Amino acid sequence: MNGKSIEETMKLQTIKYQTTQKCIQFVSDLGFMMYEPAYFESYDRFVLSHQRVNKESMVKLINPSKEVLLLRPDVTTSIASNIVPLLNDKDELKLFYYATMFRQTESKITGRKQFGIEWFNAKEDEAEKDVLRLILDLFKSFEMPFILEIGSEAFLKTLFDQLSLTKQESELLKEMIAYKDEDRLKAWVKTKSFSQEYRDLLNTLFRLQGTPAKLKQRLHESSLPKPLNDSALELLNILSAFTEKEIRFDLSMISEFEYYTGLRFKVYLENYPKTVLKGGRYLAVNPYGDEARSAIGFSMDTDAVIKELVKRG
Amino acid sequence: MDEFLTIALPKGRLGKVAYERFKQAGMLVSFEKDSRRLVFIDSKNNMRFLFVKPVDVITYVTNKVADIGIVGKDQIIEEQAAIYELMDLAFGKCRFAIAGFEGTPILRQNGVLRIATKYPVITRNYFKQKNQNIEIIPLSGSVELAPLVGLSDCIVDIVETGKTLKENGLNVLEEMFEVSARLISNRVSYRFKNQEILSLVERLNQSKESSYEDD
Repeated sequence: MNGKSIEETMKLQTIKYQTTQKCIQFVSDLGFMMYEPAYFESYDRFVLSHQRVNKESMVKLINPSKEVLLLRPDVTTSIASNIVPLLNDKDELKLFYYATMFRQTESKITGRKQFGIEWFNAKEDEAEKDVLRLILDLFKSFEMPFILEIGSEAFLKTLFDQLSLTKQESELLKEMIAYKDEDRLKAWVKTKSFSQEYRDLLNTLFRLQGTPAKLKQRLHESSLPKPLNDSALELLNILSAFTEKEIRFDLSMISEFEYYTGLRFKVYLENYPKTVLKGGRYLAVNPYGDEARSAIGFSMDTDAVIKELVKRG
Repeated sequence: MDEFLTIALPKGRLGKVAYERFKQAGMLVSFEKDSRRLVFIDSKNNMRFLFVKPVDVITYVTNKVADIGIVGKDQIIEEQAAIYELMDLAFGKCRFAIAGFEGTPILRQNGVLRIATKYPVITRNYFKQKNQNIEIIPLSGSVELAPLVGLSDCIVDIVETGKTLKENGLNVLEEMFEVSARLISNRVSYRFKNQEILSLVERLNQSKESSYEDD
């Protein structure tokens, strides 16, 4: 019993069904094909290739051969290990999924529905624009205020390369950027012997965000160091294809994951406290082998979107 | 969009300094310092203030009940919350330290160090860097008692004056790092109320600079 009446329960089920169908329709119209990720992963193989993952939060089972399995900890591993080895580096493949990921907390097992796409060997720029258009159209159809935030992993990777940091310095800088901790960053920059143009950039890094018009203005007013200017221009080129008021850029958007290589994006709903969609251009690597393919994709927290749609009524 | 920028202020010592800083920056002007109200609307600045327990500030911000909050850096590290840390307010400064009886070894090659603390995450991360095996004894207060009664070998805690340690015969064995009050923001609010939040940061920065001049 969850305290809901039959009307409320059925209304929730209807919104769930309609939202799922809408997502599937949007991506099917663009040629994405359904992929059903595996339910189980081998615990040993998964842990070996995901060393930073919190093992305690995984749901474990034992099969009749006494092998320990994980109940679908993520979707990426299943897709990357089953699809990437089959692809050459030219053929495009567009997949979508709608699946439940499982987590173990202290007291219970929880399942979280995710909807997402993976577009392998997608042509750079063109695919980026298509995916951003898809996200914008999908979220506009929900008729709730949202913001699509766009960053560039290439910009940050170039910045880190140019600064020639040690691994420890690099981790520290990533942390300061992730928290937008300007005071700490400025204090740290003072202790380093970076060139003046990089000092200036780091001291104003968190101002490099806002509307696409602001990025254009910023690049027009004063140039960034050349390699970074090129990365920012690439981002501006993509952003210039859109006029939507919901778009913001953020050049200090940083990921905890190493696999992103280019454009990154997140969607926020006005009344939901967390990101409801995230994704970007990345290198899809078979976690159990050596094969790798460039791809662009996103995953959406459909439970969060449905929750907001239900609240809206 | 909610017309107000909602700010969670901690009650207690940190809150008193925060209140003065906001007042200095032209906010909370008509709020009476010793009021027991939990919510205050500053309509002139389009702000709503929530007065909450210091340990709950992060919860209010991560759940977006508050857009902004003031909280000690210790809480931010301990809770590892996905927030933005927009400003070091440079007050509420204190040190994290390992404390215990004079001469207690804190690095034991093959041994396990038993540590009582209110900060298990900070403690675990700190000793991980030192490759020291530890057993954490989580306590919610009066951690100084633990070594006195043999519950732990030492403690990890915030030290302000060191008076409580001294009165219980304990010493600082190793300084860890300094913490202070921070202005934090919910990441979604940062996007939807970007202008309002950056303007608040600017106003507090100006008042911080003028308070330095006053010093």
